[in-house]
Amino acid sequence: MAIQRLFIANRGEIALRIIRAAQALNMETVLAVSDADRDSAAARLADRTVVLGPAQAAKSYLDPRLVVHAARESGCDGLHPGYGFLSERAILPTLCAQNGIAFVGPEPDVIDSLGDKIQARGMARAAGVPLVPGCDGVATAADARREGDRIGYPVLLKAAAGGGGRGMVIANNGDEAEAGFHRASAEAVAAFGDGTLFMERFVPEARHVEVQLMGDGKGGVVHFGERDCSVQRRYQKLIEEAPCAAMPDHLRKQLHESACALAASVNYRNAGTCEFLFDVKRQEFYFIEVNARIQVEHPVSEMIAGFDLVQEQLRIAGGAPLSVTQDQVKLSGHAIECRINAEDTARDFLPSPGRITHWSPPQGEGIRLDSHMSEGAMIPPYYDSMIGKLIVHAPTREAAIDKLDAALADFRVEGIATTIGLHREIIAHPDFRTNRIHTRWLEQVLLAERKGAAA
Amino acid sequence: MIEIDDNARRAIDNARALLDAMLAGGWNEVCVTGEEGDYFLARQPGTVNPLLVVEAALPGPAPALVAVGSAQFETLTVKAPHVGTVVWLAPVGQAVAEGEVVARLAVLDETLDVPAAKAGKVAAQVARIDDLAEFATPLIELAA
Repeated sequence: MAIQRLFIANRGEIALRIIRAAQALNMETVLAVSDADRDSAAARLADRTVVLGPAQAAKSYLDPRLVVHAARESGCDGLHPGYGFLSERAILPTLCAQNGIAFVGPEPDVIDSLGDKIQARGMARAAGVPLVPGCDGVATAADARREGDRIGYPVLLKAAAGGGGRGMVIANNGDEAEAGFHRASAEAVAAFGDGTLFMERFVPEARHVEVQLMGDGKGGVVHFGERDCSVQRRYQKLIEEAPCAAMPDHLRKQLHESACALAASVNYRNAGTCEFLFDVKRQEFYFIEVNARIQVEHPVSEMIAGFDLVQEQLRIAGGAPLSVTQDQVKLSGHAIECRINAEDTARDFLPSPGRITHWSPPQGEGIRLDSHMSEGAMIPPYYDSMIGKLIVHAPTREAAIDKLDAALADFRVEGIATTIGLHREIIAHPDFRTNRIHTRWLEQVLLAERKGAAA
Repeated sequence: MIEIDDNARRAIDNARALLDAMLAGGWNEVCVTGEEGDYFLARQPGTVNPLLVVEAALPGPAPALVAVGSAQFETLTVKAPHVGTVVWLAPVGQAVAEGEVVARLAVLDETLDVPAAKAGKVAAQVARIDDLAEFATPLIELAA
C-alpha cells in the first residue's frame, strides 16, 4: 500500500530532496530534527517536525529508538533514512517492521550482509562479479605478511565493517603489512568496534566507478548507468560524473551486467550502488562494495536518465513494482556534480561553520543545485560540512565542464569559506580536462601542486 | 501626562526596587520572574537576555526567583531530555529529592526516567499524560 505519511530521518539537502519527492507523490511529511535544526529549510518545508534530541547526532539522528518512536507516534506509515546517519544500520528497518512502518530501503538481513564487506565479497563472487585479488580474513600480523607476499605488493588492508577510509592502510612490503595490520585493526576497533580486516591488491591510479541500481524486491532490477567518482580526498568524493567517459562500451556493458546480477541475486529492494575499482591499465574492474541506500551523488544519474530516483524509492517502499524496464531507461549526455563544502581549503580543509551573509547560486538550463542553504542561514558545527551539490548536464563531457566552470564562477557565497574555488581549479586542470585522473590524483597532483606553489 | 494604572505603578516600583538592589549589590545582571512580571537588568556592555532565549536542555534555565508573599522560591522547569511519550508525572505537591524521578517517558517498549536536577516540591505538571513530548518540552515545574 502506498505510503501516506512519510517520516524523514535525516537533515540537510537530502531531507529537502526527500520532502520534495514525497510531496510530489502527495504524501504528508514529518521531519525529524535535532535542536540545532529546528529552523532549517527542511523544517520549514515539512508538514510537521519532531525534535528528537539535542544537537549532538548521537542523541538525536543516530538513536534508532527515538527515530522510530517519533515516526510511530506522529502517525507515519513510511520512513526514509536518507544517506549517512542510520541509513545502513539494520536496526532501523528492524524497528520499523516491528512498528508497522514501511522502511524505504532493503530488508535488514540484506543491509547486514551487504554492510559486512567480507560477506558482500562472498555474495559478489557467487554472482560472478569480478573481485580484486585478495583474501577475506586477516587475523594476525603474520597473516598479513603471508597474504601480502602471495597477492603481490602493494596491498590494501581494510576493515571488514568499515567505510570512509577508516581502518584502511596501504602496505608496500611484508614489514609494512605487519605494521599496517596493527594500525588498521586498532583503527577499525575504535571506529566500528570490530577489528576484523581483509586484504586486497592495491591498484595505484585506479578509478572509482559505480553503478546506480534500483530493485523492487519482486525480482525486478534496473540500472541507471555508471558514475565516475575518482576525484577524492582522503577517500571522500568531491566530484562525480556520469557516465564514466574513460570506460569503453564493452566494459561498461559488463559492469552494468555484473551490478545487476549481484542485486538480483539478493532480490534487492531500494536504490543502491554497486561500487567498483576500474584498473585503466589492465582494463579490468573489480567489485568494492554495495551501498544499500540513496547516495549523495545520485543527481548525476538522475540528470542523464531524466528519472527521479527518490520518488521511485518511495513508490517501491509502498509496495509498487519498478515503474520502468531496462529498455525504458534512456541515458543521454554528461552530468557532473561538485560537492560544495563549508571548508577552508587553505587551512587543510578546516570546517567553516557560521552564518551565510550572501548566497547567490547560479541558474540556467542544465544547472541544478541541491542545497538547504540560503542567505542568512546558519551552518551548525555539529554535522558534516556539505552545504550543497551543484550539478550540470550537457551533451558532452567537454560541454559539461564548460557549463560547470561558468556556474561555479557565478556561485557567490560569503560569510564562510567554501570549496568552490578548489572545484574551479580542479576542472581547469589539464589532467581533469583530458580525463587522466584517478582516486589519488587530487592529493598526489593538484593539492601537491598547490602546496608547492604556496611554499 | 500619561495616566498609569495600579498594575503599571507596581511594575515601575518593582523595577526601581530591583535597580536599587542591583546597584547596592554590585551585581552585573539580575533576572527575576514572578506573578507580578518578569525583569531582566544588566550593566554595560550587556549580555543575552534569558527571558528571550528558548532554553533547550535539561535541566532548563538557571533557576528563577518566584516571589510568593514575602518568601522567595527558586523554580526549575524539568524538560524532556529526548522525544518520548509522557506516561507518568509526579503529583503536584510531592516533595522530591535531587535525582529523584519526576517524570517517565516511553520510547517504543522502554520507559525512561526523567530525574529532578534539584530537590524541591512539584509546583505544576506542565505536560499531559500520553502527549508526545519533543526534546526540551517542559514536563514539570519544581519549586526549590
